[in-house]
Order: sequence, then C-alpha cells, then structure tokens
Amino acid sequence: MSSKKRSAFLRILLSGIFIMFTGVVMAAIPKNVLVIGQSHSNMKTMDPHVCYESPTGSFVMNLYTQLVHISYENDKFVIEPDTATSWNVAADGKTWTFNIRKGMRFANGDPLTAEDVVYSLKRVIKLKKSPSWLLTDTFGLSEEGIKMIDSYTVQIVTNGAPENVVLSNLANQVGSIVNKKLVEANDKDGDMGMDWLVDHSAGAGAYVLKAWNRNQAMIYTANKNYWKGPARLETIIFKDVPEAAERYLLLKKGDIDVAFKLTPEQLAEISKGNMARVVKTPGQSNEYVGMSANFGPFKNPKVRQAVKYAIDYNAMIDKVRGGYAINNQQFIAAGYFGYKENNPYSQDLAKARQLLKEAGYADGFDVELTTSVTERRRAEAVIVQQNLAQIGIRAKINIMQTAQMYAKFRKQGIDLIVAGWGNDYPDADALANPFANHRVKQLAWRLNWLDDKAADMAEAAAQEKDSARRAKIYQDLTNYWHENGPFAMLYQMVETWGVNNKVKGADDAFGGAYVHFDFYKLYK
Amino acid sequence: MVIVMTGVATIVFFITRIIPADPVGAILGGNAPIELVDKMRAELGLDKPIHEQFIDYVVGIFHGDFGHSLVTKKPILEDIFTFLPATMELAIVAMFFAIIIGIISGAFSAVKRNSIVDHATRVFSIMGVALPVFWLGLILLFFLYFKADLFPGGGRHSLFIFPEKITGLVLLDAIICRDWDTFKDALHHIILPAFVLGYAHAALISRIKRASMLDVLQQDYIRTARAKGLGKRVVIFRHALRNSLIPVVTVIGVSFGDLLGGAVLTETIFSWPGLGRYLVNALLVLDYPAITGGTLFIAFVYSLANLLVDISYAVLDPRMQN
Amino acid sequence: MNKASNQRKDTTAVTENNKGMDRFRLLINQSKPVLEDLKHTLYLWRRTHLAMVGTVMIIFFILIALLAPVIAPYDPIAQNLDQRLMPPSMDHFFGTDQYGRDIFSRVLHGSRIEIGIILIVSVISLSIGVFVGIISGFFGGLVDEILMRITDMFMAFPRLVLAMAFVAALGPTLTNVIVAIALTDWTVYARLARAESAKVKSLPYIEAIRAVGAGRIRIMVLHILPMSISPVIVKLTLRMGTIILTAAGLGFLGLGAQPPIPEWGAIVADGRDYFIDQWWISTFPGIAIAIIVLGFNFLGDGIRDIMDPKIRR
Repeated sequence: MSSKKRSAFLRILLSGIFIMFTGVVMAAIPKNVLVIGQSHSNMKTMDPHVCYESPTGSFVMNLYTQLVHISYENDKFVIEPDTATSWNVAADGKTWTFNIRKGMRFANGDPLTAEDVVYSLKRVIKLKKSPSWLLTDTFGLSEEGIKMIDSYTVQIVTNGAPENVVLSNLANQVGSIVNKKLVEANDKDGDMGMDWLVDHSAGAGAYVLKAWNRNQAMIYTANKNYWKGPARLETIIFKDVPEAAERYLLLKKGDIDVAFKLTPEQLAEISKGNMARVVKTPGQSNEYVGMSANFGPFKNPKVRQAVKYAIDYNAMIDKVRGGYAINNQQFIAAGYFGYKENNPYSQDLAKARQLLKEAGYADGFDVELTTSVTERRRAEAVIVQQNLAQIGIRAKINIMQTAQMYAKFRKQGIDLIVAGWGNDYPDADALANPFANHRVKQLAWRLNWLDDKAADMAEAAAQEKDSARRAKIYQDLTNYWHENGPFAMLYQMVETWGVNNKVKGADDAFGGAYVHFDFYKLYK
Repeated sequence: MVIVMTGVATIVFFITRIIPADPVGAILGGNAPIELVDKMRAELGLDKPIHEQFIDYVVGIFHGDFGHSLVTKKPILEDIFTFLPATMELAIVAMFFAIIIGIISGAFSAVKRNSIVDHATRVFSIMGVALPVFWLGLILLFFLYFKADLFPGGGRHSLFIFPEKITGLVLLDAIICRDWDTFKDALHHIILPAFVLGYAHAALISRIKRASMLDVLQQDYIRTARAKGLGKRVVIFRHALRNSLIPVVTVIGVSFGDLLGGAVLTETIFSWPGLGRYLVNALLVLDYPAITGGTLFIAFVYSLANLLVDISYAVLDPRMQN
Repeated sequence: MNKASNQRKDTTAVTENNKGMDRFRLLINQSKPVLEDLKHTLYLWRRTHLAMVGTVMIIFFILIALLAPVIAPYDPIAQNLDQRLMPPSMDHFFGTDQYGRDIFSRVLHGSRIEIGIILIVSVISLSIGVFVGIISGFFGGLVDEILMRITDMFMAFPRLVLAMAFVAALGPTLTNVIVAIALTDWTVYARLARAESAKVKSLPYIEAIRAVGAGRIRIMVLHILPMSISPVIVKLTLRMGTIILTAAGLGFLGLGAQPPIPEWGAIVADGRDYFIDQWWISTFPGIAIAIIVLGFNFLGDGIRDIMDPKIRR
C-alpha cells in the first residue's frame, strides 16, 4: 500500500466513524417512563415469599397486592385496605376475618379470590424461606390456622399478637397475594413456582415484571387491571449502576430520573442545582455501639453509661452522614407505633470520666473495637475510638468482613462492636425483642445482656392488646434500657434519593421507605 | 489441559473452603437467628466433612453441574452463560484496541529508535500500564461522557433498545439480524470501556513489537532488500512489520488472561453486565458455588485462548507448519 | 586500558617482589572483563534515557519513603472532621479527604506501605519461584513434570482473579493482600529459573564439580542458583509496577488494604465516590501510582535493553 493510498484509507475510516456516531442520538427519557439508577448487587429474587433484601423487597411489593396496605402519612405509618376491604378480630383476640374485595383481577386477567389468598399465605409457610418468620414467628400463623370461609372471606388464627403487629406484617411483601393458577402452572418439581417467580411476577399490584436482565436492567410495566386504576407511569426501568459517582453523573445529566444511595456531598451538590432535588425520609435501620456485658469493665452499667456520655452524637450525624440522620437514642424508630422522642444522652466528657472513676477505671482500659469493612462503619468506629480515647479508654479497631464479623458476633464473641440493625416490620415489637429480650437470642443475648426485667417487659408488651397500655410499657422499657442496656444508639438512618425535578410525587411515594414504597404515586 | 483444569478446580475448591466465615450467615444477613443459619447450612450440604463436599463437587463438575448459586438459586452454568458473552465481547474488542495501539506504537518507536518520537510513543504506551484502570475509567467517564457528551455513561446498550439474543454477543447478534441501529448503539457503548481495558495491555504488546521489530530490522534480508533499492517504507511495511508479528502473537495469548482479570475492574466502572462483576459480587457475599464456577470458567477461557494462540502461531510461522 | 595496566606492572616491578601484591594483581586481571563490562553497562545506562529517568524516579520514591515521617506535615491516620474535604491549599498541598486527613501526608506515608508490599511480595514469590524452578530444572524428569504441572495450574488463572479469590478467602488485610499477590506471582519466576537451571546444569563446569564429588544441594545452592538468578532479578524489576497495580486493584474492589492504612490504591478507592466534586482525593494518589509504575517500567525496559546482547553491540 502506498502512503497516499494509506492516508486516503485512513481518512475514509475516520470519517466513517464520525458519520456513524452522528446518527446515535442520546435519547431523552420519555414522559411515561421512569429510570432508576441503583446497584443490583443485592438483588437476588423477585419472589415475594422468598425475597428478604432491601430495597428489593419494596420493589417486589409494587408487583403484588397484600391483604392490607401500609402507607406513610404525616410521619406515621397507617394501615389501609387493599385486597381486603375490611377486617375484624373476634373477642378471643386470635381469630381474624378478612373480607376480600370483589371483582379484583390479577394482571393477566384471572379473578382474585379467597382461594388465592389462602394459597399465598400457605405458600409462605410451606416454602419456609427467610421472610417466613414475619408471619409464623411474630403472630404465630400456621397452615391449619388459614381457612377459606367462602370465595370472598378468609379467616386466620394468630397467637393473639397485637393488632399492629399482625397487620403491618401482612402488609409486608411477604404477605403478597400470588395468582394460584399461574404459579401452579409454572411449578417445577413441587417448588411452588419458586424458580419461575425469581424473574416473573404473578400478582395484582400496580406493576408487572416484564423483564430482568441481570446486572443490566429490570423493567416494570403498568398493570392495566390494577384495582385503583392503571399507574400514570407506564414503564419503570431499574438500571444497574454500581458506582455512586456514576449514578451522580447520570442524574445530573438527566439520563436517569432517580439515583439511589448517593453520598451526602453529592446530595448537597444536587440540591444546589435546579435540575434535581433531594428526597428524604427516616430510614428503617439504625447504627449502634454494642458493649458485651460479659467483658470485664462493661460488666458495670456505669462504664456502659460512661461510653454513652463519651460519644459525640452530633459529630457522628454531621460528619459521617452529612446531616442525613436522626438523633434517635432508643430502639424504636421514628414513625413506629410506640415511638416518642427520648434522647437522654449527649457528649459530656466530665460526667463520663466521673462515671469511669466511680466504676474503678479512672485510668481507662484496653478493648478491641470490632466493625465491618463498610466505609461508613469505619468512619463511625474511628469517631467512637477518638471519643473513647478522650475518657481514657484505649480502643483498638479490628475491621472484619461483614460475614465473618456476624459469625463471631452470633457466638457472643465480640466485646465492643459498631454495627447496625435493619428493622423487620414497623412496630416497636420488631426492635424491643432483639435489643432488650435476651430470650430471643438476638443482639441483647449476643452482647451477654441477660436482663430478665427487660425481657419480661418486652414480652408483656408483645401480648398487650390495649394500645395505650402497650405504648406505656414500651416507654418504661426504653427508660430502663437507657440506664442499663449495653447499647449506645448512634443514630437512625435517613434514606435519601437524588430525584429529577420532572418527577412528581416522590415525597409521597418514597416516604417511609422501605416499609412503604409506592411507585403508583409517582408521575411526571 | 484436562489435568490442568482438574488441578485448577481443586485449587479453587480449597481456596473457597478455607474461608473462616460462614457464607450462610452472609446470605441471611446479620438479623438472622442462629437456628435458621444452621438449617440452611444443612440444606446446602455445608455441614458435611470437607472431603465429602469435595467428592460431591468433582462428581458434579463431570456431569456438567456446577451447583446452584446460593444467591440467585439458579444453576451456576446458566448464570455463567448469561454473563460470559458480555465479558468476551468486551475482552475481544479491548484486545483489538490493545493490538492496534500496541503494534502501531511499537513499530513506530522501533523505526524511529531513540528519537523523541520513540520516547514519546513509549511513554504513551507505558502510561497505559501505569494508570490504574479504575482511575482512568472514572476520568474518561467524567470528561468524555459528562463534559463532552461524546460517549454514553456506562452499560452495554441504551435502555430503550432490546437486542435480539442469538449468541449473546450484542455486536455479533446485531450484524446477524442486520439491526444496524442496535449495532451502532452497542458499538458506541463498548468503545470507552474497551479502550480503557485495552490501553492497559497495549504497552506489553508495544514493547514486544518494538523489540522484535528492531531485531528484524537488523536481519540480513532487510539489508538486502534495502540494498536492492526498495524504499524504506516498503521494506518496513512489507517485510519488517509482518515478520516481527510472531512474538507479538505469543504475548497476546498471555495478555488475554490479564485482560479477563482487568475486566473485573472495568466492568464495575462501566456498569458492564459481565462475568467479572458476577464474580466480584459472588466474592463479596461468599457465594461458594458461584466463586468456584466463575473462577473455573475464566481459567478455562484463558487456557482456551492460549491454545488458540498456539494454533495461530503455527499458521503465522511457516517453519512450524511442517 | 592496556597502558594503565602496563604502568601498574612497572610500578610493581620497581617494588620488591611481594606475594600479596601478586595476588592482588591476579585479582585485578581476572576481574578486568567484569569491570569493563560494568563500565560499558554504566555507559549504556547513561545512554538509555528512559532507564535513567526511571532510576531517578525510583530513587526519589525510596527517598520519600525513608523521609516520610520527617516531611509529612500531618498524621496520615488521625481524623480531623473539621477539616473535611478541603481543596488543595498551602495548608494541605493535596487537600483533605472525607475524614479530614491530609492527602499529602497520606501519599507520603503510603510510599512506605508500597515499598513494604513490593519487598515482601518480591521476597516471597522469588523464594518460592526460584526454589521450585531450580529443583524442577535440576532434577528434570518426573519431578520437573509434576512441579511444572502445578505451576501451569496456577498460571491458568488471570492473576488478579486468583489474588481476589485468595484475599476473599483469607480476609481483606494488608498482610493477606501481600500473601495473595505473592502466591499468584511466583509462577513467573519458577518458569524462568527452571529454564536457566536446566541450561546451566548441562554446562561442563557443573560436570566437573560433580566429578570432584560435590553434593546435589551444594551444586544447586552454590553453583546453579547464582548462575540463574540474574534474569529472574530483571524480571522482578519489571514486575514491581504490576505488584502495586494489583494491590491497588484489590483495594478498589474492597478486597485490599483497609483504611485508615494509607495504601495508595485504597486511598483512590476511598475517594471514588467524591471523584467529581472533590477530585483531589483520588487524583493525587492515582498520579503517585502512575509515576511509580512508570518508573519501574522505564527501569525494567532500560535494564532489558542493556542486558540485551543485540543492543549491546
């Protein structure tokens, strides 16, 4: 090839490439489509009776209807009718009757009847997967306890758990009603359609799962048969974007409408612009410092109190979360039944030192502070370490892989831990047990806090049917726990999203996430 | 190769079983009570003695059964075939970039040896090795996507395109279906990640190319050709360039493995739905069967690539044909 | 040159006949080719600009590592949450990160971590590699076959993938990162050492030593090892950059050294969420990685050129 021919060839090649890409238009997102950018790494299955991850579970919720719906209004969770139009409890406090909405249809047109409801609840118990305990353990649902009275009436028998515990768990995605006919048709070796439901939907919810290309995108389309009428957004695309920096760029560029999990700095930057805004709501998890009541100095409640006085809660919230957290020092989350603001601790180093001195540790002591690899945990651990150093406690940080840390923790093997707890259902009971009742072998037990008084109170509250009396027990328990418990609660998380300004209704739709999460309320 | 692959399987198995933590705990999360953990462990056969687990595993592989993912519950083989094409496509296009950049810069700096051009070219190609892949990826995304709007921001194709699936290689499928819009779109998406991945491997090729080219340029027949009165360009293009390709081919085989390794990082930056990201996710949640299956497959593809290189070696070098 | 040695001869002739001096002269004469070669090497080194630039970069790097505690203006680990995310200024040359740590100090201290990683990985992988390689090359036959199959098995993995699996298994700590990289890197040296020792083994002087009655171990350690080590060392220099990059890549995936350890890759990874508005966090350590890898590559390239007999001519 001569040099002349060569350069001509090159020129043609280059102009060819140029022409090619002028044809590629970066399409703007259509008005009836919502594109969400989040990381798919935690997405496993879309089967409502198997899925137990956040936020996947709340995505699943939108594919199905539940007996009752949980909504978030005026900073409080409320129960609304959904598949059931009304319900009542018999005098024994155990037998519940639900009246099923007439004329309801699944997305594929099949009618929804009591038979589907019974099948769905039994399916949860038969499969016995991770979320099944929300029905079987919290209010004692069993296969024998689920009965069809007629095509539009279902009866269930519980162990007498309080109303809010029963209803808020039925409103969870695990209480989703699946289409019996459709699921049975896709049964494989008696798995009750578990394999098929991983990436299909069989519900009557606002949306239908159209496709899911793993690590790429999941697509929802509006259900024309939804009982409230079809959703305004026809299509929702969940695009997999693993890196926060990239989600941020995509949002600022208008290539996605909603960005999950941005850093506080990115959120601050977004609220400065006029393209997108920040939507936030109290989250369903908290961060805590746990002290093993079996470890020398921590045996003394005064030392535990000293630690609670040593921690700089405001610094934790401002510096680690950029203000996106709530100072909530009790185990009950904001918005839950039984919640009443109660924050007795703030950093008071003199008092903390005094308490240590009284306990006989004027010179402090050495302790290993364990936490997991997450960046945020590391930051918290470092602040805790510095705070403890100020009162003479020398903490050595030990960072472990999350799984390894929990394996050790489950064997009561950690002296001082910085970790978090994700709430299972929106009732004080979901938190009083792990945090105060050692008999359930949860956090309190893992930290060797074997306090029977606290355990008794937690159990009494769980059996109390009168709401006012129940709330009172939780307040007493909280005060007792503040004084004696092995936990210093760092903060309650605030969930945040970067949302394009074209998207309307996001505050309502995402409020109370991820207990309540309603794409139906969104529009453009 | 069978022996090597069996060994590889053994290595992978024992690496994943020395993990001191329990994967079940990782999957169920920190909230799960201990009874549930024990139950699931028994279900998965993780409570058996390790030699029994190993026998189960090897027998399974010989039946084409790599087990089920602890996370997606799907057969590992199915998962791998979902994600492998994306990685292959990326790796092949990246290799293409690496070869182009490598050969051009290598040949160039050999011809202009020890000149400023030589140094500049070498620095450029070595920069590819020196810049951390993930860092370069983020910078390019920021400038070429966010600022200049020249390339899309990650992913394999646009959201509103639904490519026909035949081989799983989007570019190839688009050609087969004569769907030129999809082809353009997919090509547009692959350029940036493939460049980032390929650039990192261009330096090695460039270096080898330069050395072998220098070697060839000193050979007698080149001198003869020049003496015959052939122009410098002709000699370089017709003789030197081609004859110095052989060592380059060997290196391409070796690079391909590193490329597959590098894909792990590139895929994370560019939201590329490939095997690398599948593997990273599996590693982070300790999904044993997925780790063993994924690693085994990458090793398999790598060995296969080396085999292909051996074959193409024979094609390129006439002496080896007899 | 001849002139110089002649002169020396003359001077020794003038002085009295001294046995010690004789031996010295012998030594000088014997080592003359080596010295000549060294001189030539030095000359070539000065001619090879890239090698020189590389050497300067590496020396600079080592100096920084040595002096880090003296130069660094701040503690690389202590957080100062009031100074979060400060852009580069006279107080903080490279700015600060999300925990208010001075990036400049972290990068300086990081150089010590990097050197540590390089040294330990090199020592471990070199020992395993050379040990396996020499035994394999020296004994040949079945031993060779078995050892090389094992090497093949390790080589069948892309290195980063194997290192990832190791770190995930052992847990993400700096020590485990070092172990993992070493365990994946030794194969390169094993192959080289094997080839060299197989070559040296059949040389006549080894036969001679054997005839004299030297044991196998003695031959391997005292004769084959020194003869086959130099190409391995060259390869090692070339791979040092790769070692840093692998460590950084692991750090990026959350499988590397864990903060607050100021390992460069970990700093880059740590700052990646802040990459767009607080670019300085990951940019400076990124540049530091690039410079050092570049340095090792230049040096390695240069050494290769110098050692290459064709270019030497």
